[in-house]
Amino acid sequence: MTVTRRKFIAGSLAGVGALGAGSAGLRYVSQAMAQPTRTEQTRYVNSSCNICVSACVFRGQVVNGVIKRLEPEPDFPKSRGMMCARGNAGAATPYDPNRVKSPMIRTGKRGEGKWRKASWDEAYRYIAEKTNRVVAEEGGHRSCIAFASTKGTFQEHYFHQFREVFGSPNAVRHPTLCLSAVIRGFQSVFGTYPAVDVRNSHYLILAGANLAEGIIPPATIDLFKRPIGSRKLIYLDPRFTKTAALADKWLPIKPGSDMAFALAMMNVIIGEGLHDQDFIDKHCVGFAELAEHVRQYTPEWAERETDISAGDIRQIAREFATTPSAVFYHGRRTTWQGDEVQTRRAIAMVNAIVGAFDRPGGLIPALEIPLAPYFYEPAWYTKFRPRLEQGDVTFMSPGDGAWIPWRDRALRSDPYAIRGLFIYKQNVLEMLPDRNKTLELFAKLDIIVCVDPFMSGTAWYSDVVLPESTYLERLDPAVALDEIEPVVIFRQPLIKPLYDTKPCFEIVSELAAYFKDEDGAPLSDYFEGSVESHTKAALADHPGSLDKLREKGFFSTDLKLKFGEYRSGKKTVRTKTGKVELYSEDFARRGLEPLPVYRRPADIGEGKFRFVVGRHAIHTHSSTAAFPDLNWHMKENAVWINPVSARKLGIKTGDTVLMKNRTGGEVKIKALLTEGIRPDCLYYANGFDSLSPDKPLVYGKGASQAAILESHFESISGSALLHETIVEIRRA
Amino acid sequence: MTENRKKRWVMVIDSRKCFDCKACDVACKRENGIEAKGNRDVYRNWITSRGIEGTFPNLKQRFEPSQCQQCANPPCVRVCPTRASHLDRDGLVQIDGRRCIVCGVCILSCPYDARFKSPQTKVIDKCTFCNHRIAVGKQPACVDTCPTKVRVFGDLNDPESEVSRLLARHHYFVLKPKSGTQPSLFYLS
Amino acid sequence: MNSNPVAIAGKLLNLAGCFVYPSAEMAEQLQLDLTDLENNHVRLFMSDRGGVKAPPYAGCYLDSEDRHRFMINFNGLCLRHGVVLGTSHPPDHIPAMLEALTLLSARADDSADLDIFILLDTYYHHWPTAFAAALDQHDRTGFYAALGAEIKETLVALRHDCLPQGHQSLQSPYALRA
Repeated sequence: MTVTRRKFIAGSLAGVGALGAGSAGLRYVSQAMAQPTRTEQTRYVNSSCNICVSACVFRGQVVNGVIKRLEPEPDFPKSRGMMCARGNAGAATPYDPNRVKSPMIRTGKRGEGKWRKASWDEAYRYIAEKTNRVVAEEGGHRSCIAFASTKGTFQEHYFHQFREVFGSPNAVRHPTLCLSAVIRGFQSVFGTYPAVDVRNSHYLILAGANLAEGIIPPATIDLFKRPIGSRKLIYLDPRFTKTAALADKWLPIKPGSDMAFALAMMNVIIGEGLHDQDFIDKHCVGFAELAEHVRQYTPEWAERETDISAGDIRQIAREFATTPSAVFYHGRRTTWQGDEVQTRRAIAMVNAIVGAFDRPGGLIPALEIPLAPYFYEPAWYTKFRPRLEQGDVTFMSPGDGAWIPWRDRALRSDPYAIRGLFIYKQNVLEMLPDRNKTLELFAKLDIIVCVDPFMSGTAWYSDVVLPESTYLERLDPAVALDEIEPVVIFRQPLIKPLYDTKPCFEIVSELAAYFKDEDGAPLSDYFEGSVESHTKAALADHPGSLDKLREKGFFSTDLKLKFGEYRSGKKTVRTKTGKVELYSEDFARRGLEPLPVYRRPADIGEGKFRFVVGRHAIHTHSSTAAFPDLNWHMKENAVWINPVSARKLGIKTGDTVLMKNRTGGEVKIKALLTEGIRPDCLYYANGFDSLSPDKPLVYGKGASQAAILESHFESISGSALLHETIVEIRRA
Repeated sequence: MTENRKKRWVMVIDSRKCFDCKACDVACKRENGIEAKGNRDVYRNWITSRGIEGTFPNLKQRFEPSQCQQCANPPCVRVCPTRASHLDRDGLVQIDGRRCIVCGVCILSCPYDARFKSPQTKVIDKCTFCNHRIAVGKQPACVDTCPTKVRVFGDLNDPESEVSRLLARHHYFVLKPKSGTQPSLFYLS
Repeated sequence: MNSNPVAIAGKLLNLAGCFVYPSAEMAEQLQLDLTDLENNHVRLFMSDRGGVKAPPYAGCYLDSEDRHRFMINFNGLCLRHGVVLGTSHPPDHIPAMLEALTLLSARADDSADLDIFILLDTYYHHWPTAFAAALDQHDRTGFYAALGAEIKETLVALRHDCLPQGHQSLQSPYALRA
């Protein structure tokens, strides 16, 4: 039904705009009470970035109430006084016209994009009615509602407070899509996932850790800011990344063979007596078993596995063992291949046998400034079921879960049905491999709620979207960053929240009022205080620190790292034996291999390729590709293919190609011929072909990683194994 | 005496530290209010690369950050018919947008391709060395934001400045020395 | 165009009021289906497939200026003249700008440093055509298309009425830049 414009103007427009207006007729502006100001008003507000998880502190420049710039805070130790492209681009986020501006309730089919604006009360009521109904249908078992979230905002713990007092064990967080394998691997050897003293290391090996594009302050800065020639960097990656461009030696290792490289290094180091016998004697257990075990892994053997020459392996092993500050960097995201935890253990052991622990340039347990913990009353339920995939993973982190086996069980309702999913900030549809499976899961759910400032692909497929205020409009509680130079940071608003948006604490504590526990008490009883009062409570032992936070955005104390405290016995390694464990009794007891045993990856097959993923410096996963300041650098992604392989398939740069995996996933994407990738691998960047039409710059552009990645996981840490994806490619 | 001394603002660039993260590009655009809206020809600074060179697995890639060279002998100032392009008190090449008639001769005269027509102001635009920031004692936005501090900014007339020390200690070169422009960007070699 | 200031102020306020989320009362007055109105309001101003269709923010339609600068300058002008823009939208929120105009034009009558023509030329001239075109293209009710056209016509007429004597060519739109 369309009314013609003239009819309309002549008719009813006149009174429409006056409906419900106040006596002055003004809705959006008011007259100033105070004396008008004559000049441009510039304020600086220090706060912390939230475009990635590094949380660099910036100086926000606010002019006439508008955020103009986010400049680096020169004194912030972790970022070494820098602000990356993404951090700079973040200044525009509050003003993005495609932000979610108020609670939205779906009116059409899921994913159809028909919404109506709702008040918070309406949205909460809608969520509570649907949720309570399905819980009742499941016999009062609240485990049928799951909670997915990711790190980065400092309010995620409130979301999980809601989950706990609501009574569901089913948390699914990001670690098994990120670094659960490396954490588990290094913990089993060193009792912790340590920091790496990159600044003082003069010889570094990076296996797939693309620090130039996955920017991790301070490691990235310390590695590349120093004078040329002051370090040697050995970089293993099937792809010639920007880290490769700045490395002293790039070795295009065969994917999945990092463990073979590490084992052969140990074979050389121990075989030639280059290990640090003194450190091993005093601080390690299991060296004899390890030495015996690695005798079989010669450089000649490893050459066949890794495509790195025996000569190179020998030379690197010797240099590594004889440079006093050498370190084999542990890495972050390690959702790769095979026995990923055992691979990380092997890398940890390479460090251990040369004593690259508790000394300058080595691994060192990070320090954390103690803050008073956030406390809330727990809720108790008689109807309790363990989390869905409890038995699928050896080292299950109950607060994190393991996404891949969890999703498989949820799809089979095994051992019970999942009926609803509450999501905080995680773009589940783009971050999990095999998007079809995730969509299949979504289709089974009765209620999907998404808290996000933006209409991510996941929000687009939800029933209710609750808009969170952006990081530039929020007070976030104080957080201690564990680092070599530990600091406490927080967030404070640069401007008042735009639109009808709220911070997570307000959202979950208000939503809680619409739910009851088993005794009939409203869940809102479990939420006390405000973000401000929680921040003050956390800082109770540090007088004056809140003022420092407000002024500088961070503070540090006299807690300073000293090397040698583990070596002198002042501190003890947090393993069961109190020693660095080269042979793991704990693993043996659990039926796991106590030493890393190499297994060759299955042959990928003639004419097939292994798909590898990787970061790029101007984007954080799928969340920034649509930022206008960043998008122009890569308007569309393209699949990297080596010219030798492309020639056989008749593929040229710019051709549209069809890629298919083994589990029904397929994408169309343009090809980019480049020497910078092994002939048996393919790669394309993350963040494109969003399912959400509300991200117009990346909707229907290029291809999504989630659409081509197959779904695999390893059962020690529960980590996804993204590089187990084998694909075919041909011209479309 | 020192306070009145004439400045010679220069940048010393160590390209080998650059990993092409584009922080300089975005910081410049936000600082100077340049909305490219996806137009790839709108920028005041840039990072060039010839891409990945060589044949697998023997490869290399270099990145070269650059911008207006702030020449001591600037051809753009010589050719400007309206004196819109001029040298300011510190000897920096600036553009007075009110005098610019957009004849475009300066774009052609610049050996570094540092100038463009701004879709916003509709006149010729280029890097100013963030003279509004220099005036309040800050570094240019691209220098300040860079993760690895590829660019070092300072006063070459001050023998104690870091730029003076760097140039005294290292070999360096300028871009297109034969054009006689006497650039203020020095690249360490 | 009626240049009676009171009538114009009333008209601007009325136009600003049309941006309020549709109510049953409004649908009834327009003789349109409420759900249709709601869907269109959401599509045009809040969220839609392919991006929100007609963001009600002036800065989104400028080809000649950085949106941040525009917001900073406009909010600065309002602050200088005692007009406080609501904080739940960016300062270039079109209905707020229309309301602000009623207050600012009253100020211009007795303020030497606020020229109504320069005000209109700087902040109310560069976006209405594009905004009206976006509404015209994407509105399916006719109401919002009419709203866009009416805003454009009102501002054009107002500007014409305020054209200084003998000024056929316009001053630089950057005259008010800080």
